[in-house]
Amino acid sequence: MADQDVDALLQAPSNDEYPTIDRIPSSYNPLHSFDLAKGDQKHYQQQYGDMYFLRLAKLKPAVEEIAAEAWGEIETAGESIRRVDRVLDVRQGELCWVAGTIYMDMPLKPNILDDISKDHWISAPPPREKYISPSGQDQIMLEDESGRLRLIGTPLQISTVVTGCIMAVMGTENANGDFEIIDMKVPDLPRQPQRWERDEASAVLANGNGKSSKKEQKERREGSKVAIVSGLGISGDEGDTLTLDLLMEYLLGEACGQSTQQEIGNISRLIIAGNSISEGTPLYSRDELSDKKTSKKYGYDSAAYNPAPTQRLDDFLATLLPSIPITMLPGEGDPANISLPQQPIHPAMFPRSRNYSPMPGSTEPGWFDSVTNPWEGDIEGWRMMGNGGQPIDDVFKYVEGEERLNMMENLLRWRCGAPTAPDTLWCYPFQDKDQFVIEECPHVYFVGSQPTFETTVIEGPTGQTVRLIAVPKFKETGEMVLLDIDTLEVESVIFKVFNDS
Amino acid sequence: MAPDPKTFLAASVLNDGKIVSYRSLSRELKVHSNVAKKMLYDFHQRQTSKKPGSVHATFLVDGVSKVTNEPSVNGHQKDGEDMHMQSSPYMNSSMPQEENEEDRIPTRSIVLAREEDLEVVKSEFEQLHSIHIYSLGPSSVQRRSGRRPPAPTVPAVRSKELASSRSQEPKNPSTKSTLSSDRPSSSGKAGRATPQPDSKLSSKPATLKREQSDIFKSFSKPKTKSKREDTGSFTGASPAPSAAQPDKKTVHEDEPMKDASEDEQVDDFITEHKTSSKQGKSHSERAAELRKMMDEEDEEMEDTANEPSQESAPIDAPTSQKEASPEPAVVVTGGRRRGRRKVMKKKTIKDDEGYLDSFYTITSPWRASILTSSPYSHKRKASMGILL
Repeated sequence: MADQDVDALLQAPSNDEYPTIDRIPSSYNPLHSFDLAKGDQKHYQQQYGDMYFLRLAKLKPAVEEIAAEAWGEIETAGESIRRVDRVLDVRQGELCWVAGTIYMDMPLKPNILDDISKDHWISAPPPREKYISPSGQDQIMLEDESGRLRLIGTPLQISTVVTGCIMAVMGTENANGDFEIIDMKVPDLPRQPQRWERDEASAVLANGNGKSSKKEQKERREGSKVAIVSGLGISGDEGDTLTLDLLMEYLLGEACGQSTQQEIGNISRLIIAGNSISEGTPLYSRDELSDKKTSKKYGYDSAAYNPAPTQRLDDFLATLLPSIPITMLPGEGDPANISLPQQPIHPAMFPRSRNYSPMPGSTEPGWFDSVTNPWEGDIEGWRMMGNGGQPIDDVFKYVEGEERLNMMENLLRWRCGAPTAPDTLWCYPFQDKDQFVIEECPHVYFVGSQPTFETTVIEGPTGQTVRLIAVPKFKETGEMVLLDIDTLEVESVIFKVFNDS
Repeated sequence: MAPDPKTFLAASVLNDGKIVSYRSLSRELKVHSNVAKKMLYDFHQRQTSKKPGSVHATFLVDGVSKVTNEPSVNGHQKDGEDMHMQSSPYMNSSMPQEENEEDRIPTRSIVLAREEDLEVVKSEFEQLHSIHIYSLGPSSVQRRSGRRPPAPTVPAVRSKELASSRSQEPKNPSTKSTLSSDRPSSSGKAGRATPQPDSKLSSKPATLKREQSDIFKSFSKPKTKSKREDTGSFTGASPAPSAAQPDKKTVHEDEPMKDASEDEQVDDFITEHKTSSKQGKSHSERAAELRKMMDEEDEEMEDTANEPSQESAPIDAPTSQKEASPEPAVVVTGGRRRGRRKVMKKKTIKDDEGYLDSFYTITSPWRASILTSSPYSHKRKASMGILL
């Protein structure tokens, strides 16, 4: 960053040679945890109740272990705290602890039964920003397969709970039948894999002996970075393209001076965390829908479909792809299915960029990888996990305050990527396994489409450290996040047009 | 085959009025983008030394911004205010303590700035990494979007203006040629479309506006107009812009020259619009008066709408006299209300025909009229249906 470099480009052209800058290759090993079965294998007839059961079955041992450790040896007045297996077995006046699923009964929460009984006659009110009722009518309950227990007590006020998270609570049942909490425990962060763990394991398997191949080693370069951007909000209008162009030119290493271009060469991958398109899938309310029906048209209706946003996104990706590999998650507004886990945006949307996506049926990850919405995978050996923002946005409705990082942290500590999922967040009715349960702690957890850029590091009980990143909407903030792979430090790059009005 | 950068830039920026970015230049000349940036700078230097203001540059500044990004920094620290969130019992043991160390997340800014804003932008930076010219254009541009085809709305607006201008512009015929040549070249600048609506809204007397050019920057072309006449003569023979330059500068550096022509049209447009609005006002006022007075004259108007038959001829004549010209628009605006009132007034109309009829109207409002006027009962019922 020498001074002369600042003005290096404010000179007459000379015979300087500009060497081609090579981009650091990216080591990329995605997991396909959230891929749903295709076609006939995917059913929606199942009941959602199984998900809660599966989740509880999975997480109860973990939380009970933590609770037993914390409370098992405590003795009060010569009595130890008794562990109760089922919620229904809690006896009045007895100090005990029990584990179960939190359920929050909130009058303002949307209720499917209400929808069915009332909603036929009027159009639905706009969705609420928060479900918390100002008059304090919300009730928090603990449930398991046996029954429910109403919880009260100060720990609930000072901690965050939402429907669907698994907890162990310690306290006594009072005369009203309410369970007064003294303390509560969550499953906390799960085991965290070592860096390169998966890659090494697969290498070992491949080679048959204890040494990882040279090729694997070669890929481990120092100093690479991963760019994360979210909420591009491409609308196809003319006005919003300028910062997008700046972003593109920056990532291509065309903009800025030589030193910056050199740094850009270290960006080995771009992750797009949802909401690339604004209003990709307009949903009509019931009234609008009936209006639409009258103007039914056979075949392609240019009035109902605007190809500009996807076209523009395709152009954007196709321009970047020759230079940088891209992982793209769908988001709330993207042309994918709405319920979580959102499946990859179909390559048909990208006539130009799909040349870079993998052949159908191949197991190799593509250069352009259109992935599921909660997504996890290994980048440069680090376990990354991210989503387009819906789980956090939904948790946000349950709790007071705006601290997105706090919610992200809680999600990890609950070991549940989408705790509110069957309740207020649409999701696929998993049958065999609640896919949202976090079994391995990621090193990096990013969430897209958040109001502001925030980041922090959290630590777990056994030394896990997780970098949390709330990625802002690019369209609103012009911000891109750069994650340094060596240190997992984060920096932001802001693109803006001065005095744009 | 690579052409000389200077001739290329002169041809596209000065002659064709295009915006050339370092990117398009590097593609065009097949040179490294950094070389293209320097070429732009070189050309800009030369041109400004020859004729200051003839070429406008947009700069891209890259560096570390002075103002630390508030939201990014204090996101987690804010928690201190809301203790209940942070100090949940099961996590305070492991809450990271290093937030304070992270006070500053390194933030890099990449800012696109117009030539005249460059110093301001630079002063906002703590550390500059690089500055280069992003693009050159014949004039500074509100919003650069030349790469994309203009949105469908824009051409529509423009064509309208063109049409209006054509019809009303015989004042200086020489301009037309410049217009047509200038328009398409700068058609990419969609930003242009927005100022116009404003101008229409702020409809002020055209004469006034001419004097106010400084205040209304977007209308600051009065002088350029005269200039444009010059250029018009030039365009035929040689590249106009250079000749036009000095005048233009005196007026306002920002102004895209093409505006000059549009401004005129805008004036016309405004005056027209204004007159129509005036008529609208007067019309409504008159309507109110009429309602009060229940004069015969009012009815004529309504009649024209309602009763096409016998009365129409005599009625039409007075209205046309009273209300000078663009009647149709006014009628349309008032449409629905009139529809209701018509009924009432109709009775008054009957006044005109005979005194007896007028009684009917007074005693019973519009229903009476339905009963009485059998030939139009069809229409009435329809209108009733709507009302009910």
